[in-house]
Order: sequence, then C-alpha cells, then structure tokens
Amino acid sequence: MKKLHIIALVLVAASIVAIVLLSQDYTTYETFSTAKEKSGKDVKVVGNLVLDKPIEYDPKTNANLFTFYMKDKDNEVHKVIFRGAQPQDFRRSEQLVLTGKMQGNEFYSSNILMKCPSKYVDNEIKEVKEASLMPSK
Amino acid sequence: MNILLLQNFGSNGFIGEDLIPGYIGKFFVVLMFFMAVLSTISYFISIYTKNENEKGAWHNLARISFWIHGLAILGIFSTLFFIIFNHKYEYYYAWRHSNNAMPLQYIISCFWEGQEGSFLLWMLWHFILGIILMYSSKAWEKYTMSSLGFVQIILGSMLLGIYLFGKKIGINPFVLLRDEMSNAPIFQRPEYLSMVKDGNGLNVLLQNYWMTIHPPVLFLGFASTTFPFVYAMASLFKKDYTGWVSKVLPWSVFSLSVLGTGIIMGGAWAYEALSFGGFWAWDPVENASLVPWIIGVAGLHTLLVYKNTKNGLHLSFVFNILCFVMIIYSTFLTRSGVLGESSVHSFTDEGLGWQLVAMLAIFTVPTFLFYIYHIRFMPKKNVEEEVNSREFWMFVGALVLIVSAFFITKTTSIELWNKIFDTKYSQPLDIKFHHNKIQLLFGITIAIFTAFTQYLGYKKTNYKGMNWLWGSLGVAVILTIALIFVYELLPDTKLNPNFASYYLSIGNILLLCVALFSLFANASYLLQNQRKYLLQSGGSLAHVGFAIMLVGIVISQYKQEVISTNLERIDYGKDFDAETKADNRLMFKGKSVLMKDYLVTYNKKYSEGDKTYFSVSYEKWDSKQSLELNKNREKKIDFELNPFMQRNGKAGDLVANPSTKHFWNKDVFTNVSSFNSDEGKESTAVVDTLSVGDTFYTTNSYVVLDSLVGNPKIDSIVYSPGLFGIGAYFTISDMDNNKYMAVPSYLIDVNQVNAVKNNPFYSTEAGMKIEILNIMPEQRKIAISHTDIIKPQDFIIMRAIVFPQINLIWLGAIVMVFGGLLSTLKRYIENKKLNI
Repeated sequence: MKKLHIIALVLVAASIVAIVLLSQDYTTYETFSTAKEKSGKDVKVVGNLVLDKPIEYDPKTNANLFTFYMKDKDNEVHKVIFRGAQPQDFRRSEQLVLTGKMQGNEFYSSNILMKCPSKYVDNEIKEVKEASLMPSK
Repeated sequence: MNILLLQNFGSNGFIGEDLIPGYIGKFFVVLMFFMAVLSTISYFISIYTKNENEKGAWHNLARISFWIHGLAILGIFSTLFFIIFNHKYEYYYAWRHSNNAMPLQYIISCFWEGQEGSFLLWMLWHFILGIILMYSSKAWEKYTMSSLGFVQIILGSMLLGIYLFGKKIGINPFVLLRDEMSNAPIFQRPEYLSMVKDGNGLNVLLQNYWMTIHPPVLFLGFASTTFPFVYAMASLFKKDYTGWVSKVLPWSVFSLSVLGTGIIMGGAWAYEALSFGGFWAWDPVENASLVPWIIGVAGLHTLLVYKNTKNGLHLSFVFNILCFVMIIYSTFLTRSGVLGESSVHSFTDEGLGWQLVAMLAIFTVPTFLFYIYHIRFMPKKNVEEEVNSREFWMFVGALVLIVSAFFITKTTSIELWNKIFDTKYSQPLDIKFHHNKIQLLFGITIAIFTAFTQYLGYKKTNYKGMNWLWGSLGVAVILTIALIFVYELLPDTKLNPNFASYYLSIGNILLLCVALFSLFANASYLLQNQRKYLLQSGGSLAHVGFAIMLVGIVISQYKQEVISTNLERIDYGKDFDAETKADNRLMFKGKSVLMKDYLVTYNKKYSEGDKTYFSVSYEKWDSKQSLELNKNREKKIDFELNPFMQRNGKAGDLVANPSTKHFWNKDVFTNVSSFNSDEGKESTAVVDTLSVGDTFYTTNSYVVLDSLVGNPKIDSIVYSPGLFGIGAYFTISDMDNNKYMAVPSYLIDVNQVNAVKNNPFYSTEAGMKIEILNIMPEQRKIAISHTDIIKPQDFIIMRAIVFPQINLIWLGAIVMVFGGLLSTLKRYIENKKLNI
C-alpha cells in the first residue's frame, strides 16, 4: 500500500499545518487585568453582574447597545459594552461569561453567556450573541 | 460485597405516597441487569463447553434470559410511564421532568429529557435490534450476542442507583423525591406530598413535535452503531476474521441511514424551535452525533472494499470499532459536565463522571488491545491498489473522512484538554467559521470522490460511460457559473472584502460546483447502470442525496441574508468599525418597516396559555419603490408569522421561539429577541359631573358622553327586583382619530350591605380609565372620575433572515436515507440468498 501510505503521510502533514493555523481561533479565559495585557485580542472573562451600578438599555435610541458593570473573579469591576439587545431576565443572572476585548477601562463584549438560577432546576445556561454575530457568515 | 440498595423500605410515616410502583420498577431494574449478566455468561459458556447437550442448554438459557432482560426493560418503561401519567410526584423523575398540564406526546418526550430515560431508550433499541441479531446471525449468534450482552451490562449499570465501595453506580429512575432532595426541610413533614402539587414540567425548548420523534430516531441510530462493533468483536472471538464483513454490511448501512435521519431531524428541530437562526451550530451535542456518523461512513466504505477486493480488512476493524467508541465518547462529553460552559445544551454533571470515564475506558482499551493481539492471525495481502482503481479512491476518501472527524472532535473536546493539560483555552469566538473553513476543504474533496469513484471499477479500471462523467462536470461548471450570478456568490467589492470573505466565497463556489458534479455524475451512473434494478441503486442514490444536501447547504447558509438590518445605522461610538452591522430591528406596533423585498409590520401581541405571541405581517414590496407610504394605502398581507416567547417553568427565563414561512425556493425566518413588557402608568384622577352630550378633554383625546342606559347588558349580571344599574356610553376619540367605545357601569343591589358596585372602564389601548362615582337621577347627571393611562410603548425587537433553497437540505437528506435503506435491503437479500 505504498501510494496510500504517501497520501496518508501528506494528510497528516497537512493536518499538522491546519492545527497550527486553526489554534489561533481559540480564545482563553482571563480576568480583567490579564485581559488588559492582551488588549485587542478576544478573550473570555467570568464574573458577576453588579446590580447597584447602572444597567442601561434604551431600545428607542439604539436597539443594539446595552451596557452594564461586571465584577470579575479578582473583584475588579469594569463597564461592559455589548452590541446587542439586552437578554430577557438579565438581572436574574447568577454568573456571566463574557467574550470580547478590553479597550481602556471598558470591556467590549461580543457574546454573553449567562447562568440563570432557577427555583428548582439546575443552573440553566443561556447564550446571547452580539447582533452582528448572530447569523454567522 | 457491600451493596446498599438506595431505597427506603416500608412505611415511615409519610402520607399519601404510593411506593408500590417504585418497588416494582426497582425490581425490574435489578432483573434487567442480572438477566443481561446471565445471558452474557450463558452465551459465553455455550461457546467454550465441549459437551453438546450442555452447549444446547446454555444456549437456551442465554436466549431466554436475554428475552427476560428485554421484557424487564419494557417493564421499567411501563412503570415509569404509569408514574408520570398518574402524576406521582413522590418520584423524583416524574417531579423533575413532567407536570399536570402535560399532553400525551410530551409525556413521551419527558422520557428522554433525563439521563435515566435516555439510557433506557438506548437499551430498549439494543434489545429490539438484539432480537433481530439473535435470529439472523446464525453461526455467529453466540459470539455477537455475548458481546451485545456485555454492552447491555455496562449500559444497564447506569440505571442501578446503588453504592459500591462508597461510589454511586448509576441513577435509578425510581428514586423518591424526598430521598433525592433529603436536605430540604419540607421532607421532614409527613404530609409533604400534599404540598407537591405539580412537577417542573418539560423544558419548553423540548415542547416541540420534532422532540417527540427526533430522540427515538437518534437513539435508534446510536443503538444500531453497536452492531458493526459487536460483529467486529465477534469475529475476533470466533477467530473468523473475514466472515463478518458480509454479515455486518446490512447493519452498517442501516445504522448510518437511521443515525443520519436522527441528526438531520435534530437540525430541523433547531431550525424550527431555537432562536439562533439556522439548522447547524457546531454545538458539542450536534457534533457528538455527527462524528460517529462520519467515521461510520468511512467504515462502511472500507467494508465494501474488502468485500470486493479482499483489501482493507484492518481499516474496517479500526473504523467500525472507533465509530462505536466515539458514540460512547460523545455520551461521556455531553453527560459528564466536562464541557461546562461551552455548550448551551450540555448536561450538568449528575455525579456519574467517573462511571462514564470507566465506561469509555472499558470500551476503548481492551477492545483495541484485543484487536491488536489478533492482527498476527489475520490474512495478509500485499498487493498494492492501482491508482485508477475504485478501491484506491475509496480508501483515500475514508482517510479524508477520518481527518474531518478528527478536526471536529479536537475543537469539541477543548474543555477536556484543559482538564488534562491544565490550560485555559476556550471555544473559538466564531465557532461556525472555525469549523466551516476547514470542513469546506473536506466537503470539496469528498464530493469530488463521490462523483468519479463509481466510474472506476474495482481492481482494474472500467472506463465504461466516462463520457457521462465528463459531461456531468461540464454541466456542473456551466450551472455553477449561472448560479454565481443568480445568487451573487462573489464577494461584494464595495464592502472591502478581506481574506476570509474571499476564502469563503471561492470555497463555497468550488463546493457548489463539485456538489453539482457529484449530483449529475451519480444520477447518470444510476440511469446507465442501475435503472433496471432499483435495489442496486441504493449507493448512487445516497450519493445523489448527499450532493443535493451540499448544494442546499452552500446556497442557504452562505447566501442567507439578514433582512432586519438596522438601516438607521445608529452610531455605536468611535470604537466600532463601520462594518459592524446591527441585525436587530426595533419595530413599533403598527408601523411598517421596509426589509429588503418586504414591508414588515408588527401588528399585535396576544397570549395563549403561557405563550406570548407576536403577530408580524409581511407584504411583498418592490424595494426600488419610494418609501413615502401613503397613509390611506390599503395594506396587503402576503403572509403572517407568529413567533412567540414562553417562560421556561414557573420561574424560569423567557425563551424565544421563531416562526418561519416556507416557500419552495426560500424560507423567511423571524424571531423576536425582546419585547416591551412594561405596564401602563396612570396619571392623577380628575373628577367631573356630566350630562348626556357633554364632552371632556384629556391630554390625548376628547370624550363624549353619548347616552345613559338603564340596566345595561353586562355579562354575568342578571337583573332582578332590587338589583338595577346604569351604564354610561362614552366615545373616546384620540389624536390619531381612533375611536373607542367605553361603557362603565354602576349597579345598586338593595339586598346587600355593600349596595353599590361599580365596574370601571379600563383600557391601555384607549389610554383611559373611567369610573362612575355617583348617579344623580333628578338632574339626569353622573359624577365620574377619569384617569389617563400612559400607554406603554408597544414594540418588539426582531430579527428576520431569508434562507434561499434551504428545502434542498431536507430533500437531499430524504433521498440519502432512502438510498441507504435500499442498500440495507439489498445487502440483507444478498446474505439471505447465500444463506449466511
């Protein structure tokens, strides 16, 4: 099976190249402070919604702009800007996983994953994407 | 051995519990498990016993115990059904997954919402298919059935719910609510059950007709992949390394047809019921069923090569074992909670993580070692395939499929790599593009192979009908060029296309071209060679279906268009680039908005049960026409969609459910992402005294008292002596010239202590509350109070997407599955004729 072996080897070599190229797609989990060091790159930050700071969404002026504050695992609080509609029941969320970039002191989020406590049911996870990401092209 | 059964025997002072079904159910669970053990051991002994009489006796015992094992599974099913149907919420499963209001088809659905029910369904299919295996595998029965029995033991242990050496083994479906949640104080009270009036019900996302039919089909697919695996194992036991190939072919094709149907049904459900807009999201749960399917397809093709050329035995072993292993791996990924936050659907850890790891290890390590041990005994063949032979390209295709499956699995398993290597990686931001850009290459390669490989003969080239092949290529190229213009497949140079858009554009055009090539090549091959024998055409037909699906995927996914784009181009601030588009559109009630070829209007919202519907109408509109909408223009409705929102459980969050208009050549998908749920606000009341004909003014409207009527007709009021009333008829005219009629009334019942009862008029629509405070019969006047209600602005935020040619995906899937089932029948008849 000589020729077949050559083809298999070529496939393996091509796969290794593809793995290296594709590995740039992966995001990493960070805190706000480490995200600052990687500003310009998309990262994920886990934290909780800060309820005593403004949670603003005014669909009449912009249906795709929603801002709030989040506290990360190191208790650092930053303003979050999300280009999309406010998810239903957002205030009830127990934990948030944001994907986005740190720019200055603000975190520009493109995706919100929220864990909602439910009275009886285990935590439910809900994902909300920024408007322009929803139908992926 | 220290086995503690997880149950509370006897009455212990709790009122109203019906413990009998639980005991029966647990008895069936234990019976099911031990009969699987007995059957497996008996089959095993019947293989190795020398004495003929004993052989027969063990064989009979094995068969009988397998039957009892299956009947016990049915017993578990029936008992659980009885518990759920009768709303016996003392049982955790019923309380957790069902409720009182549940119609029958959802009672069936709640069997597969929980892990216990899913394993049960999986085992039930193994039993039903196992009976077919028992009577069809003939000389192979003892070997195949003992392997299947072993699989049933492992799966059955997932239902035991016992503690062994301090470890929990399995989750018993008959666990009591008070045992499962023993920390809650309510369960200290003997009458606790009288407080548990209703269950949690089914996740609203699963309350969809697809969810009644999709899981059983998918699990039938899962279960049927076990059979090629079982045959591979049997051949090692039997040391008959080649005879299994013919036996396994009908199973292999059947399994791929059913699993494929299950996967595409899941896609149909996601498209109908989920709000993300599409049929495939590369979600781990979806990948979990796709990867085994791809490996199974590779395994089927190597089996076919072996049958025809006696080459490719090892690949057949490896791929068919791997297919089953990947099913188990998928179960592990989705059920163990290891995926954590990466999937919307992923299930939480129910404490069985270690058992799932053990299950995966049991089915992976010994089986491959067993195979490697036997390699030395297998027939060797050292003839190299010709490059222009059919088998050569089938092998290459199989390898490409495996690499494709590898790339999907690699990304799906990323959370697992984190656990093993202590890294912090996470899923790619744009998961669809991540998978699409690499899978596009595999799609193109596979489509080319399916186009020309059939034109090559096994072993030596058979150039018959090659003109048809070149003809197909020509037609495909011409048609592709035409479609490039029809669907504008080239990147739009006005939008500054980057590398990614060129890559996707060229990739999709190539894929479209080779998919059409494959479609025509397989169709013409079928017409030339197989039209007389429908049964022979299964393979070509399946390839035709696959090609049609690819065409549908390219056009509907690559050229899907969000038409609810925010044309106002609201400024998001300097940090956002110009490319950022907004897909959500704010829609005020009654105000029409132009979306591409449609004039879209949000008409009203209404409630039905716990669902809030939004009626959105579409009118075809020439987008070149001026948008100066004439107010008096008569509105035409071409179609109306009613997406809705529903609360998940009593305290759960709101879940959006889209609504889609299907045309033969496109779909219009509409989803409401948000709506205004504010209540109206009342201003301060104003008191006034009015006669008939008087008018009063409010901020938004003027109101005329038209007449006063004695004993007005009001629902549920029967006038009798001593009870009389008066109704005031008002006309409210607002600034937009809308008119509303308002009839507050005032009733006096002399027989009662609180003689006066007044029924105010209240309407957020009219923006007004009117209440009669007193009547003055002598002056023919009434005293009223009126209050403005500031209308909450009624609006929705919605998204609309047009998917062109999406029906080709469903059509292609149907053709592919039909081809697969024809093939199954052909391979079955083939074996029947040879009596093997």
